[in-house]
Amino acid sequence: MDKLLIEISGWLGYLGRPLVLLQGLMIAALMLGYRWGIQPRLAARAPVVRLLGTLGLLLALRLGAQLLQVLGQPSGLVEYTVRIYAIWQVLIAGRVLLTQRFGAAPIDRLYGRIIKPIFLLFLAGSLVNQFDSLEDFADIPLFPLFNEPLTTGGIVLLFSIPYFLVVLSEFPVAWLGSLLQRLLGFSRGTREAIQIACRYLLVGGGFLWVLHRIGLNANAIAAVAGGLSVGLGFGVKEVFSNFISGLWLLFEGSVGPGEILFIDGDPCEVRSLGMRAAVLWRDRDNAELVVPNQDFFTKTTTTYTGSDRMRRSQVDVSAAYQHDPELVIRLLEQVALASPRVLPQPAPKALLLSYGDSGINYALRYWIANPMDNAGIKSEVSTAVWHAFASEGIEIPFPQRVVHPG
Amino acid sequence: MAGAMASSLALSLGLSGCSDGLLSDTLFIFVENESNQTRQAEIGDSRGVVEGLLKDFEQVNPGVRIQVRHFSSEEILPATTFRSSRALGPDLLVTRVITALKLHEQKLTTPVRFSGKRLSEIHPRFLAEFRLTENTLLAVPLLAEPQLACFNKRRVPAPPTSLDQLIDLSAKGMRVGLPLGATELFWTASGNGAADSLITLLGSEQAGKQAGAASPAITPTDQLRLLGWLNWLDNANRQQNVEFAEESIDLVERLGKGERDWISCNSLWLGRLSKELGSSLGVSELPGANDQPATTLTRLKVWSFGEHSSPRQRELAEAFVLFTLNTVNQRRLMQAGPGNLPVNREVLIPVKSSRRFAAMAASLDHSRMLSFRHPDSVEERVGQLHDLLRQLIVGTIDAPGVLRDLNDPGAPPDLDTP
Repeated sequence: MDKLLIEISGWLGYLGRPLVLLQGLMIAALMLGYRWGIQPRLAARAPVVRLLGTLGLLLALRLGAQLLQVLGQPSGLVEYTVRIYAIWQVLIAGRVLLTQRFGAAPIDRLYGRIIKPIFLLFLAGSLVNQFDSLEDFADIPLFPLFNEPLTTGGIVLLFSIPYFLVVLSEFPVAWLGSLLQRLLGFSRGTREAIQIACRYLLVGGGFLWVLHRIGLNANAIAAVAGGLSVGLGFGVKEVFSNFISGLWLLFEGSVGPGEILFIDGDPCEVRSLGMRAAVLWRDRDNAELVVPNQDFFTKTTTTYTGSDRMRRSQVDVSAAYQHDPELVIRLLEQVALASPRVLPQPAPKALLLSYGDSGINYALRYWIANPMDNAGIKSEVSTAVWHAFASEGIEIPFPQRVVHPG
Repeated sequence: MAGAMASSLALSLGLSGCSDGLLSDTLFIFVENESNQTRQAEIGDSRGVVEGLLKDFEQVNPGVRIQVRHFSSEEILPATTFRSSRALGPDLLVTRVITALKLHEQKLTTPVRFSGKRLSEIHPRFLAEFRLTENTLLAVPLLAEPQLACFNKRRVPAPPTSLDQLIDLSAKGMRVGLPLGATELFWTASGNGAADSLITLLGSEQAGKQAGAASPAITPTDQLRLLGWLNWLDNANRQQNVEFAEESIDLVERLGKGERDWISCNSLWLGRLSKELGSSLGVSELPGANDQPATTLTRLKVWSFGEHSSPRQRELAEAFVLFTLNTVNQRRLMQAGPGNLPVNREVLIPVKSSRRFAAMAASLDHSRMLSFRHPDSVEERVGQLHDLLRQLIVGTIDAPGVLRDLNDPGAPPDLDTP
């Protein structure tokens, strides 16, 4: 680490050169003049005026560089500043245009997760390249790791490659998933499971490559894996168990994203299957449930999407004793068939269940296409039943209590 | 962004105001690596010795730091141009002669003036190439690296002393490795009596006399001698145990692995070969004709001075160069780097106690320098000859064809040649 600090502090030695100072002063004067003198006045103006202000600064810097060249002096630092500042302004303008086209949320995500980190890496690398040999700088040893020196370049790789693999792998993997879905006719859940498995493979493979690239030999990696195994056995057993359960469930396909599961009496849709837990969405109250993967692995899981996505639903209703049960049954089945969101096949079926205290109990059973719509369809069918009973003069009985005073 | 950039810059500029306090004097040195395939530096095989040298200088000059950056031969010129365009170029460069001359030609370095007394310590034969006026040099020699024969003593008890013997021994099973570079094969030309003709062909001395001469005039005698040399190369190539390699480092690797028994190598590889072969490594002068050693081309590492140094940096740079040239440090560099010979003539080379130094010193005594006053034209001719020699080795052209193409580079290929 000392060597890195010495190397970076050594760059200050360039400030002893008059021509470096001259370029630095020119850049500082123009940029501070713009920042303090012009930018505040443009803050409230239209975006086009602000853009013109920025272009003015770039032009002033470019003219400064030109002046130095005419005087036969080096101007590369000023030109470098122009280029970096211009790239930054192009990125800002691009963000504005893309936001207008695609909305703020995805573009903020794109910039926050991809564009800005890439620009930051580029800026850091290009800055080092101005003052130093990138290769030498990357070779500066920081501290030993398993008897191998971990270098500056190694640290950058160790953090940046896995980060970009996680962030960027989303896009090619999604493309691959949809391609395979189209070619092989996968379900949505299977497609997402394949995508997640591919991302794990990519990130895992990339991480191993980085470990190898930074000089960790295979023995060291094996030693790390061995140590982790012991640690996993004692300390983080649950985490590891959840991780393995998650992988198993992915390949088994029973709890893939898009599946509808019955949790605590409510149908919930699996939104994602993470390394530790699955995130499920409950329609009833728009809640997200975070359920450890292990739970699915060790407990009975009720799914509506195992072999198909249809659900059989049921509305219970009573009719007074004086009405002919066959008439009631026919009417109930007609009502179900008339409901737009009830599937015609398998055909709805009404049943006489029992003779109750106040009336005869019936059940109307029907099939729906989306398990998550059950509550809404049930309400629609129940309402239609009431209207049908009312129009046919069928009485829905209810318990009556007669109190005899004295 | 503008604010952040400007503020950090202002902070840096503010710091520069207190250069006696926070900022130390820093000397930036660019070093040309020996090959594009390796990071071995021109300044010597042993980085430890170089670091010791830098540390000693920093100790006798408190507050001074030296930062070294390494570049390959291909990168060093563009890298220096790139940083010089920002006034961030090096204060000093250690390079091969041709690189130093190109840097000078492109005005990326500046001449230096040393007192006659200091210059008199350097052997005059190393100075001629760099002298602009009596005491002004465009570059300063640092170390010499002679060309040698490197061999495995277990396989080659007695090295060949003539080119004929080299071919004879190869016929008896000695596996020979030769480089393809025209300058590296110069010793074979000397053994065939074509050394001067090859120098003329490369345009080295000619270009020095008549700047801009595109193609040097070769006399019929030169043609005959060159043809003799090319025929010898062609004959060597037909031997079962003789192999040519594009890069010297390939030969060094193969000798180290035991795949070759005798190679033509430069002394700068001795450190690496010593590690690989240990006591089996043998070193001798390259074979010439009639049991006389060959004439080789001297290879020099030289210092050049950057153009944008502050007065203090320039002062330190000159002090550091003189520090590396004094007898103590020249001896130190010679002893620590197994392939280095001093340019300071007051340093005694231990020829009696070390066979290696004896061979190196003898090779240096039998060497000459290729003039590079017009480095681009010489390099172009060397590259052209290299291409033709490659074709000769793979059999797509014969020796007269090489000569014909050298005389008339634009001529269509002769379809009758094999």
